[in-house]
Amino acid sequence: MSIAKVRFWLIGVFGTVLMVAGLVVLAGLARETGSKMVVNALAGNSKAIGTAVRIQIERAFELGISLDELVGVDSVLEGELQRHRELSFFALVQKGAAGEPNAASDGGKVIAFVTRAKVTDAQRDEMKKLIIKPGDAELVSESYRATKMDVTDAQAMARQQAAAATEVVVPAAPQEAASSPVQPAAPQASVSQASLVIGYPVNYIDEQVNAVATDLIVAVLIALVLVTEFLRYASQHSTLREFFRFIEFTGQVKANNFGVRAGARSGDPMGALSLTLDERLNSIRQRYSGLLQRIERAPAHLQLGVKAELDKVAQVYRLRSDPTEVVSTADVARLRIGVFLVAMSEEICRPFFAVFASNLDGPVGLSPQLLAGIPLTTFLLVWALAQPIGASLLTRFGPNRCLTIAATVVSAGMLITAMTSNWTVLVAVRALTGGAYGGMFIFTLAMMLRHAGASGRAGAMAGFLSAVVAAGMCGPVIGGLIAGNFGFTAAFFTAAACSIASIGFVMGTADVVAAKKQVKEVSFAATLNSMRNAPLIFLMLFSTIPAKLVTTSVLLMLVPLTILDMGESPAVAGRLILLYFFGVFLVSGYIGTLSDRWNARKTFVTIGGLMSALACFIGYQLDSIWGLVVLCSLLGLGQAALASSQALLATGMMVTKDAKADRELALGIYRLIDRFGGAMGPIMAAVLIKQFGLRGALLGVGLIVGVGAVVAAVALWTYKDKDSTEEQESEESCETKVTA
Amino acid sequence: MKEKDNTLEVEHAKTHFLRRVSMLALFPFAGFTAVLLFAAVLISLRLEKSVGDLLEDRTALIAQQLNNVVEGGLRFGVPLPDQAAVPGKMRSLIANDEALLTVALFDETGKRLLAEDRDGKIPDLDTRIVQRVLAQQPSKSAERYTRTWRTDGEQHVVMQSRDALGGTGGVVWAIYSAKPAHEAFSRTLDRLTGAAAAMLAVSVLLIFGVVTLIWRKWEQHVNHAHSRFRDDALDAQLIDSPLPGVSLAHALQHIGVAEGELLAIERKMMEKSI
Repeated sequence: MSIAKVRFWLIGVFGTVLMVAGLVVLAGLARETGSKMVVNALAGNSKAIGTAVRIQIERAFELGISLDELVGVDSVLEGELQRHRELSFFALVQKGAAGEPNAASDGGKVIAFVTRAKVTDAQRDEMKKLIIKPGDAELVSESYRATKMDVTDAQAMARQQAAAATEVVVPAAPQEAASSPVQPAAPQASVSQASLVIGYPVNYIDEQVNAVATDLIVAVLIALVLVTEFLRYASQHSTLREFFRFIEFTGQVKANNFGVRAGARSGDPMGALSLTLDERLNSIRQRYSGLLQRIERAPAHLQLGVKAELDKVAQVYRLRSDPTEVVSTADVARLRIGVFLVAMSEEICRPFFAVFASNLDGPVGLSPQLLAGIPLTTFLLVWALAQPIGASLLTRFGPNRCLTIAATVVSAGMLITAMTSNWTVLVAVRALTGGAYGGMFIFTLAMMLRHAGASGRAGAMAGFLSAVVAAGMCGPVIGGLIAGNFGFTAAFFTAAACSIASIGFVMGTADVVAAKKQVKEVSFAATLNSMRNAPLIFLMLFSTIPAKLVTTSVLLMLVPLTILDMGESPAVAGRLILLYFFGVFLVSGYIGTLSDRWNARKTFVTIGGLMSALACFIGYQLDSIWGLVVLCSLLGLGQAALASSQALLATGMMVTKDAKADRELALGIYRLIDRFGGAMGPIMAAVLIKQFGLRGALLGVGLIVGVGAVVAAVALWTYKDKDSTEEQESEESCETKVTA
Repeated sequence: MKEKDNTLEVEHAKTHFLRRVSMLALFPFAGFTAVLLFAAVLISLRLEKSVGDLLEDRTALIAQQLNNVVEGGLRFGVPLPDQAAVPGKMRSLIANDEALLTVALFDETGKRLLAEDRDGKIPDLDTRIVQRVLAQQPSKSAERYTRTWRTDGEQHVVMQSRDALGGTGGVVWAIYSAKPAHEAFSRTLDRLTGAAAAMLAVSVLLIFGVVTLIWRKWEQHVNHAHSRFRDDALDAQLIDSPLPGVSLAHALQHIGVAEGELLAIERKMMEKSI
């Protein structure tokens, strides 16, 4: 490893250590600040619970049952301990009466002592010491605190008072009367016959703060994703644009693409080097065209071998066309942040939308489940239907108008949702928002693909996907926080603010490719016709639908239900699902670039399918939370591997089948089928769970996707993905014409 | 005049360098800020939740106690309006716990029968919630159907009462002050954001320093690569880029290779005298 790499790693490690240290300091401060408040609340609870129990025991006394005859105290106390998880133990102690041997310690006799099941002997001893501690002062030991209260037997008191009274009248009473005939103090001692001790852990706050550890991991993940997303946009800022352009430029040259030009404008070292490189590349191109002209002028028999060699060099270094300037990706970055914000606005509402909808005034006779379900389904349905329609709208009205209107409608929809209390209005607004939301997605995706051109399609697709996934990771957590602390309306307004901000980013999107490419009328019939295509049908049936099916069935059904089965809280399922999204977010961009570079769409589709199957199989084998961890992260990686390649493979198949078919319409139809596969997931999972149980169902969906991947791979063995190479060439010749 | 231009250019380059470095330093700094602030909010919320859960438990206990009295009466066939023990129990509950704000009892039609409030002004309680609790099928277990939530510093617990036959007999509503939970949140958050701000103030210097250092090295590297490239004398030092992952060496090398290949073809053509 080189010195620079070591230095970079050291900086990385140092930064991580600093960050972890910062988090530990925060947790420590929180512990210090919160501990008193939590102890106060715990003391209040133990007192309230103790009072309730005390009243029950006193009622027994009222019925004439004495402390010795009291049965079933243990089970009552055990029940209370089960109900109140914050407590550690209960004890009922008979007060040592004066004159008895243990009076010195005032310990008395322990009538009942109930602890939690998992308690060591040492802890038990510690509790016991606390129970028989004399006096009513604060009961604190190393790991427990306790509240002590008197349980008064009013009946016994009355009896004794009566006895004391009669003693005066009838002096012929037993011993004590003889010793102190007229002393009211004696019966006073037995007024409170017993005391109830309620114990709770001192380190209750520690458990709470420790539980924060997983919160912190989530915090770090989300903060990083959010910042990455915004800074991806900030990197287009004027001061950094040149730097990123330089990196892109040298990266292209490194990948042997000499058909680029840096076009640097700044005079710093990078600008200077760019200028030199431009000159050198230019001279190479000129040399090439000079050689080519010489060859072409030569007689045919001399051309043979040399022409082929020169062609090969030209192909390797892409010397054929005039150079294109390395594009600054500002427009793409704006589209990306725009779709991220719109997706955010929807994801923010996700955690509480169902609760919100089910609480609205709806038609009488609809159950809360239906009140929540109908708006959700309407939204998803209209969204899916907007996918195929989007393409023709984009062609007719242009991206600027389409994107601006879609973002505006989403914003308006969110604002109305925030203010409505009428369920019917909500459903109507959701339908409208769903259409605009779906439109926003397909418009942005189409525009990002247009920007990328043929050589960068998978990369653009992956960029789009990771923006949406990033929103999926951050939105629900942030939405949950806002809704929990400031109410649903505040959360809806935040969501609206996000989509309003997105208007600013997507407004003024220029139509890049349409200037070069002729705007052709979207032909629905031709596109539909292009679907009658054996490889496409194989791909859809055995790869697209199973792959989507496995994600939704695992994420929406199998993981949450398994978590429930294990007795963990639903929040754990939420974190596991986050792991899936993080997997997608981390690698999809990188895989997209690889898929472009190697032009290996088919391979990635197969690898992704097999990885998803492997994820299910490992999840099936490891029957624990770690199995689920592997399942979710590996599934995320598998989906990242196949998602963008698959969409491009499918649309490519449609476009190459029928020249009149429209790429964007094809994409819309592909996404419609993809969503259909997703909708089938939970239903399929439900059927499988019913038949084979949770683990069997996991194996089942794994088999579906695995077998599907193998069948699709075999069926497409001979299929050649001509789309990307052909398109690239035609685009290049088109560019040559423009510049000529 | 020329000298002045030169100094101006140096000045310009300097501000450009500073602006660029600060922009680059913004990336790790923003990440660090976001992590700390998110952590501060999440930790404070966790504390609020732990205090809030304890309060919720206490409120549920109060509702349970009132419900026990109500159900006791129903079991003996005493209709809700005639239950003499309930108002007393309500008053004693309020008297015994000063954080208890309101208790109320609703009959099986959702009409409010009795209510007791600490300040004497009984708040409007949303009857739709009562209706929904009444609509729930009574559970067979000992646990009563309960809805709990927390808003505006108040902890609410609404509990279904069962009559003698196991049907719904009414609804008990308890409102408890959730101020301690709210305080736990705001106090912790204040403290943590303060600490986070201090840490960020220190880190901003550190990050700026490190980024400046790396950037200076990077520019040196680019300059070195440039001069080597002009002299056609690429050296091993070029592979060691200060920004791992951004290697100029290969890009520059490929240009040389391509030139060599074209030269070879040209030679071949000369041999064939094309």
